[in-house]
Amino acid sequence: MGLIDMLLQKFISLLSFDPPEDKTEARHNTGVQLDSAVAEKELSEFGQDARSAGQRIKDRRKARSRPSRVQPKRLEGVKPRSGFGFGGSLPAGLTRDTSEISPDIFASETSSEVSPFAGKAGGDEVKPLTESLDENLEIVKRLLHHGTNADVVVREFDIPTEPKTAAAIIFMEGLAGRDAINFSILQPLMLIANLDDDGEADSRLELVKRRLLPGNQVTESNNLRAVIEGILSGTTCLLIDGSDIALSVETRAWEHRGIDKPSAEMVVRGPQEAFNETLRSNLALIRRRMRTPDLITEMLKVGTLSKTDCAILYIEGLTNPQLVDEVRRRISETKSDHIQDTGILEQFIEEKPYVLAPQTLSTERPDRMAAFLAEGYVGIMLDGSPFGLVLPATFWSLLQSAEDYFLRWPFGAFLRVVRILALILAIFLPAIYLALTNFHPEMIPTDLLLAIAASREKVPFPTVTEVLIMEIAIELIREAGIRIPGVIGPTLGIVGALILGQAAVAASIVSPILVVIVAITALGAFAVPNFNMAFAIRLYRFVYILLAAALGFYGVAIGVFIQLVTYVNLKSFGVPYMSPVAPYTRSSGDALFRYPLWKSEIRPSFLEPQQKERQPRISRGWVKEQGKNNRAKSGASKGEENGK
Amino acid sequence: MHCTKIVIIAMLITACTVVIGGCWGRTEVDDLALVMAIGLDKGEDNTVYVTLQIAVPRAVASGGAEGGGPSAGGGGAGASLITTMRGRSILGLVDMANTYIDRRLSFVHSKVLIVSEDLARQGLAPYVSELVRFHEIRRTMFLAVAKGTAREFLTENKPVLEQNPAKNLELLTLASRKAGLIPPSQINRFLVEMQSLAEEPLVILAGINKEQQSAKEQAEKQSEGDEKAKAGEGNSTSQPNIPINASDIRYLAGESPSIGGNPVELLGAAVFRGDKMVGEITGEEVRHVLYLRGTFKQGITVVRSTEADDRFVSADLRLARPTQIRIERDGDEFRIKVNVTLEGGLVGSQEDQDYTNPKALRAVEMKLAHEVEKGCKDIIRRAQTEFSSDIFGFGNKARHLTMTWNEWQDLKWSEKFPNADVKVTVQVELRRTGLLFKSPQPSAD
Amino acid sequence: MASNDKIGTREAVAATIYFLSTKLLISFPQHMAEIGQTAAWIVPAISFATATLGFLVIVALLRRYPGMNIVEASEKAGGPILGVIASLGYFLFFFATTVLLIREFSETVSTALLPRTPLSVIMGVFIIATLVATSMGPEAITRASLVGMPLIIGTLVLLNLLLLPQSNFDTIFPLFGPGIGKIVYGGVVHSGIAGEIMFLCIIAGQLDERHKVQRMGLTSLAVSAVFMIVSTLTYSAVFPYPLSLHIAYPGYESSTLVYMGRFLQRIEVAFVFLWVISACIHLALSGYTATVIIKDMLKLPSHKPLLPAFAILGFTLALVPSDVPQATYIDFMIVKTYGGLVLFAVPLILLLVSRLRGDHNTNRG
Repeated sequence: MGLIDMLLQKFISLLSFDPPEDKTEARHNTGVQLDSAVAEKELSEFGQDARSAGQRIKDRRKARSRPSRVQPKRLEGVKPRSGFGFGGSLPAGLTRDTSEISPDIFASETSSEVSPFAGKAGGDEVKPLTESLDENLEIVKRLLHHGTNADVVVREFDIPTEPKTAAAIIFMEGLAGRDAINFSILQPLMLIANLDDDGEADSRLELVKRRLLPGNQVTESNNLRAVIEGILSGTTCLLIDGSDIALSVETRAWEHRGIDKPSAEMVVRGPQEAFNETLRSNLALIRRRMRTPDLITEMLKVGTLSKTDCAILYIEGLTNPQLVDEVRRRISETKSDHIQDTGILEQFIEEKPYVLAPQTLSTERPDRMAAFLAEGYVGIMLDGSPFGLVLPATFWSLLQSAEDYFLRWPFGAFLRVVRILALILAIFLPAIYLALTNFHPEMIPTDLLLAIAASREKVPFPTVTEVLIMEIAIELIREAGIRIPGVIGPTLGIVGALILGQAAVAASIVSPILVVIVAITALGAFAVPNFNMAFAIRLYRFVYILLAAALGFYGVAIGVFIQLVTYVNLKSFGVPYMSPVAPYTRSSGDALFRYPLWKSEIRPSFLEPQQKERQPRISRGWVKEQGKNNRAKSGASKGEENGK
Repeated sequence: MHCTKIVIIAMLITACTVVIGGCWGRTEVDDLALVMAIGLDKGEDNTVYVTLQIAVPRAVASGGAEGGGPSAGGGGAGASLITTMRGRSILGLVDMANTYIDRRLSFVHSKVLIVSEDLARQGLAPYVSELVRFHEIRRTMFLAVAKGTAREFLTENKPVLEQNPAKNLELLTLASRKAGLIPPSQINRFLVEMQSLAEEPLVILAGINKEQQSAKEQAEKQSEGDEKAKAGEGNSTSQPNIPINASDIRYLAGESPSIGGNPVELLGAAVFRGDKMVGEITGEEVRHVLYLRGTFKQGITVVRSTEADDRFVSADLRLARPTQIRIERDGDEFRIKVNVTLEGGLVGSQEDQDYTNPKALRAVEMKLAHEVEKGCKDIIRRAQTEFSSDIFGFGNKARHLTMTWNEWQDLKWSEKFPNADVKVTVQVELRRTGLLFKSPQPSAD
Repeated sequence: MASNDKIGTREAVAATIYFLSTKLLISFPQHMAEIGQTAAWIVPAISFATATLGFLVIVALLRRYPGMNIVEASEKAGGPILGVIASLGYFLFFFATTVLLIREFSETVSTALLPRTPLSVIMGVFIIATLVATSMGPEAITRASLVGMPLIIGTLVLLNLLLLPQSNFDTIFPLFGPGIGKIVYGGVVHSGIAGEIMFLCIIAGQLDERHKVQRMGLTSLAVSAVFMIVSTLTYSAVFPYPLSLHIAYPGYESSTLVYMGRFLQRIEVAFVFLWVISACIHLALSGYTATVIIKDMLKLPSHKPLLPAFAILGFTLALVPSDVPQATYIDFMIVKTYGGLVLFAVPLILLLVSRLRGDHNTNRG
């Protein structure tokens, strides 16, 4: 279905500039592809004909593009929206921050240059609103396909001024909060408008705006396109008779998941909150951790259909501007219809899609994102995606976990070592086993070799087949464990791992030592903190198994070499992947190990941050004072131990 | 982009190699017959008997002789198969063996090369060089000379504690070597010493315990005839009459005063000159050689008490510092001064002594030093006169006297060594007295 | 974000050390024993000292032409004909080294790891790996050497330590083996064993800190010399002189000798595994150097089109020596002997010529 759609669209887009006699078809077709743009085209042509099948397709698409509507059930974290602002679920203190952000969004919406699709299909041609409410309403209704489109709500009413003023609000049901509309738009306008009219206001619009609308964000616009986009993102549009200006009142309050515990990057010690699908609360989570005005969240839109909000995060005056430019360039040059997750965006902006190594780092932890931002990395958040991207990614950062820094340094360093060991085991262990048993039995201790030989005597397959059977079995268990509904999942893991392994051994399909090896390998892959990296490792493992089967250790060594060369040659957003090890750049030694935090004075210099120092050389000022005291006491010169 | 293409091509090629190349050189472990020990015996007409001990994995894994054991081959260690072939070259026979052994012979885990005494006396160079050129043979294999035949040694090897044949031979070698009763002897070392102008090889001596053999024979006789039963009964009630030597360790392999357990033993050493065996020395003498070489690890030395002739004192000694060897040249005369310093503690004493009294301990030290010195002098004399072979490696120190290789070659150390004047001084320092200061004695009355 | 397309100082030093010392893994120590007998370890010391002098000459030549690498500088100094001859000389050295190394490494792998696999397959895989690496350019290779640096240092240190129980350092006496004169002569003549130092001058154009080229070269020479001397010393202590002549694969054979009790033995495969990676790096470096000389000589924009041709040529030529002893003989007794002459004497001549002509290049600083 998806493929047919795509082909259809391709075909259609070829037709979209057809001569006028084909207009109906062309119109309907472009309607599938670009709703608002085409709607404006229609508007300019005063096409009045009824909607066809394309309309319905469009509606379906719209529905799909809104994650909140696809959400099968209400999650427990969802709270009813309160009247003011969008941030019903957020602590009150956050309103300030978010109100800082939202004008950005509007600004970017109105400026057509940011919208990647602006130039196409005559979108630049913006019809201004007229002074007639009916006319305006007619246009807006048609653009929103009111009537067929069931979520569009148009409420017409009178503002009881003297004389009465006709007005209407338009909003999308589900996106806009009911309470906000009821209590901060309709109620004041309908009930208290007649009070205290001193006639000072220049116009009714001014009156409404200044005195009657208690909504916290109200934007004026006579640009239809901006109005429509606002409605589609959850604001409520207020049209007043006699005014060619539409007021967009902030009422966004769609249903979303609350802030949950991280599910992929769990830590024992450290913050326990993760991003959710709402961009604004995600940004708030980050901003709460960095209360600096220099934290910039630039807004772009990605996806011509989805028009997903995409935030580029960086710290002004710290992050390398070239890097920010590069990220901005790549995102804005990305042209696709539907980008709804960072996982998709990632594939559009990474450097080398054919290399298995993940070239961006995704995280669901706001603390981690904030820490990366503070080091000079650039972050990307996408509305609707609970995973943020950190750019550029280096090989070493993919092996790090947030917890490394929350623990004291020896523990953190130890974890790093364990993880590298896990990485090596997960990639190489089956290959090493294969190479050893098939090509180099001299490396195996004699007793073990005899035991392996004895256990293999009844196995009817070559070792390669054995290894592949077990590896595929474990991949099956892993995949099935994710897909199997709810409670059975973990049970299946145990069933698969224990019983299957046991039974396979009992049935002489595999030798027992292999079960041990495959189990360790699987554990090793799970110990790798980055999901993408773990995937890469799983695939590399099969490559190495094949190499080992063909050429033993020689094959594995050649594979390691080629992988090494590929990795050192790789760049993520212009930064060499193996930095700071190769090429060597100054850093706080935070690649393989982790050194004491008070010794980690500089930011990774491969990012070329504008401020190189993270903290002064003497970050623990009190040590100096203590040293002074000691000196004063003993008279001996005690060296200042900090910062060496 | 270009690079990734190349990577993809490389991967494709690798995939092809997997498909095509899967069959080269890959051997499953259960297709291997792991040879644990190789035995070489001298045959008639310049031939050689090759005995292979091959581990039976199933028997090893199931933990013992019951598994597939003695019946599988010509008897021998529980979990192994022993086979003997006769031929002109060793490696030629390996392929031959595969005509009746269903798994491919592999020597990568071989632990021991055992050669019979007569082959060793004839010269080992051709066989050892033949073997070390073969990539599966490891230079770290232990080399031993068997009194009697190598085949007999391998078949008689009936380990009790360690039934795994692989572990058994290695453990035996290591345990015995730790006590300093056999010399370190690996093929590589043999090659080095064989070629060297400065030292001569010393090789482990292996043998089958005579007492045990005679006891076995007696037992067989016992079951045969009734008239012998009486004597046999007497034998079984009282202790077997085992002849002993003056020192508890002055024995050659196969002569140790013991009965029961595994009949094979590694004790003493075969002395070589070049690649030819010229004599054998006892375990005690090996220990003295190790003192002089400075590679002795640790061992218990027993001396007769100074106060009573039937009392003995034993001390656990180790080298306090590497043995110092000084060599001086005076024309064609060489004077060698060896200084051995041992230290350790008493571990057992039958004396009635109070060792808190410094004199008592000094007396034991003196006695120990005297005995060690005497032993060293004896073995040096034997090496100089009987074997004329520098098994101590004094020649290595003599190398320092020359500046160029030609000079050193012209020195002809092997001719000079028998006439060298060797002086040995031994110091023993006892640092502790074990768990007791005084010996507990029965009450005087 | 900068310093991307330049080769950093550490990377260059690491690569040069790799380039200089990976030949330890093949028959190098055995040839040292051939030259120096019991004094085998003195030979690399002398060779490296000679090579250091030669390197200083090259650097002096390079200094006269800032911004140029040695191939361009040679051409500038010696004119088109002399320059091309000089460059051809350098090329022949590196190309012969590459070809012979492919053969020797493959033979080592064949003996140590895959005795039943056809040699051409092993060689082919080596060449593919080299091709992949060289096509990625010098940055990738030098960075790979930096990552691989702990590997070679680790294996060499570990191997030398593990072999201590097997070694007898008395056997390096008599101290001067065949006599001082012969050692010095042998060392000087074989200065080609450090000829790979030329690599630094060939990549000079891409160096991040070109002005440090002399210091970088001296550091690499010093570190490699230590590796060479220590390893040869251990080799001659483990396999004393007459025996040291007989070993075909010294690195491999010494690693088979590791015996630290029942549990730490038979680990040579692990060493060879790591050495294969080192060998790949070495091959990539020498393959790159050879092609890039031709590239600069012919003033081509990129070295990549040359690679397939060179790979096939290398594969064919590597199979020319009929047996292993012949290959190692050509490598050490011909290439490394006359190679030194070409690499160090030619720049000296060019330097003199350039001085006489009073030629300078100041417009490309």
